[in-house]
Amino acid sequence: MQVRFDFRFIQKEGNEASEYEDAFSPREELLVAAKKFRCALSDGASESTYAGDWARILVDGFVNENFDDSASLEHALPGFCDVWQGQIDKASLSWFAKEKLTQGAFATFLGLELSHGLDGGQWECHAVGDTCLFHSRNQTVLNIFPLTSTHQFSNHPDLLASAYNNGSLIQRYKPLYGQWRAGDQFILATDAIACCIINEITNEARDFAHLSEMLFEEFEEMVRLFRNRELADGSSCLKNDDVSILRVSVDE
Amino acid sequence: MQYKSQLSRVNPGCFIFLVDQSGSMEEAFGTMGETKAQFLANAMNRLLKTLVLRCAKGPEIRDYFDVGVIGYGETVASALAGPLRGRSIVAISEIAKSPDRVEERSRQISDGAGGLTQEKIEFPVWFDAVASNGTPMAEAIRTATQWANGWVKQHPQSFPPIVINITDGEATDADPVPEARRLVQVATNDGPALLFNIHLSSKSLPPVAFPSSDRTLADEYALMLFSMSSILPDTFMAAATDEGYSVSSQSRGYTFNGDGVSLIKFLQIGTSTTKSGSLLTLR
Repeated sequence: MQVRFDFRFIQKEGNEASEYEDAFSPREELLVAAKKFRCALSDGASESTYAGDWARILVDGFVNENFDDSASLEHALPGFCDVWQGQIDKASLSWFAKEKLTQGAFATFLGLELSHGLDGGQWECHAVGDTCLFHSRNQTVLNIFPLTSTHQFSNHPDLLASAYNNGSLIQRYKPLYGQWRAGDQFILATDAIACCIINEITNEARDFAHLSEMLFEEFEEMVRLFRNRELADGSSCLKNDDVSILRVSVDE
Repeated sequence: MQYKSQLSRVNPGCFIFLVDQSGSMEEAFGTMGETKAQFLANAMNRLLKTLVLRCAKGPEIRDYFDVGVIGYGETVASALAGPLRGRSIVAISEIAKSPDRVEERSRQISDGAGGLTQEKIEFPVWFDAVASNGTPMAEAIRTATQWANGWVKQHPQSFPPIVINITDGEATDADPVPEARRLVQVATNDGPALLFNIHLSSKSLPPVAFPSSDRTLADEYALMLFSMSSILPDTFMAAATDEGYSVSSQSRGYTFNGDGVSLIKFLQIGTSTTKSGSLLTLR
């Protein structure tokens, strides 16, 4: 199979680029022929500390095939936590930074795997939280996952924690499987832009293919427009948050 | 629309705490043998620590809040101790870096095997227990109005100041109601200041939290403080609901005779930067 992979991202308005706390992998745009391809996107929770580092560990862990399902993720998490702890120079920290560290970092996770074998093209998606997948074919959206409606987005998404075991993953870990055909496209998006896209295609009847194309062609301008556009309830069409979108196009 | 501004370093929030330090705060409170003043000092220090931790990112503090603490009893003045003594409203990063002292305390945590174990923690102290003299609440609210006025001029786009008054009784200097009316006329472009009241009465009457009418309030001071209290904006209603309170669109930021836990809950709701409150979600 042939995979084309590209991405766009920008930090919250008012933040420095260095304060961007989403993470994705791979970190370079690709056009590759392969039997298997993985990519992942994670949104570090902005109220937690060193969240971007935690998000980076999660996406690299998936792309490096350290886990494939909830059981193997459960098994891999303590090692990921150790890596996260080991990256921080605790000796130099003030009391508040040390104390915050004990609360851990939190992040969502969304991983996509495409493969091609004797039974054709398969895809699987693994999700914890509100980072979303949009799977489209012939300009039509076939799957939106794991959230499907703007009402499902909240300030309490499911998260993976770095500092302690925050309960069983079974309730939070959501997998979805399907078959791809040549020309299919997959978009992975963090919550703010995912919610905005769902609103545009469901409430505003915007054409998904055109919208996704525009997002990649005119990314910063589109983000600016959406952030400034008010919805009927007075909120912004695109809430002020880090914005990340990954695009995977697959062919035989 | 009011109360929609999200906290950011460009448009930070502002909390002003008014703390009754009158002689009657020497009375016992709660089950740990503490006085009201001691309990309140611990609660305030924990709250300031919580606010600091909310703003801690990596090795730094992001200035999402400004904070002022006014004590009223023998005097009406900033109640911050140590390096911040005498300062009015200060950025949360200054609070973080300038406690009066850091005490070593212990807390119980799970030992991972079904039991509990003691863990030593650093407990920063900015605020000490004080209890003497009368209750100059009117002057305290007037001072808060001055502080809030100065702050809104510098932060016209911010969420308006949130003032939390913690008292055990009647004002002894003047009627505080007109002062409270003036306080809630201080406004940013996002709405007028909010005044919430925590009433630690000495009367043994049933506790009340976030009432929507004064019908259940038997105490005249309770009626006064209720009348001074702002109606909860949506975000605080959501935070109160999350904490298990039954609230309506007319609920006011007032609590009467709660125990220690409910006092701490009220402080958390009043400063709700929880994720449930989208308006005060940190950005």
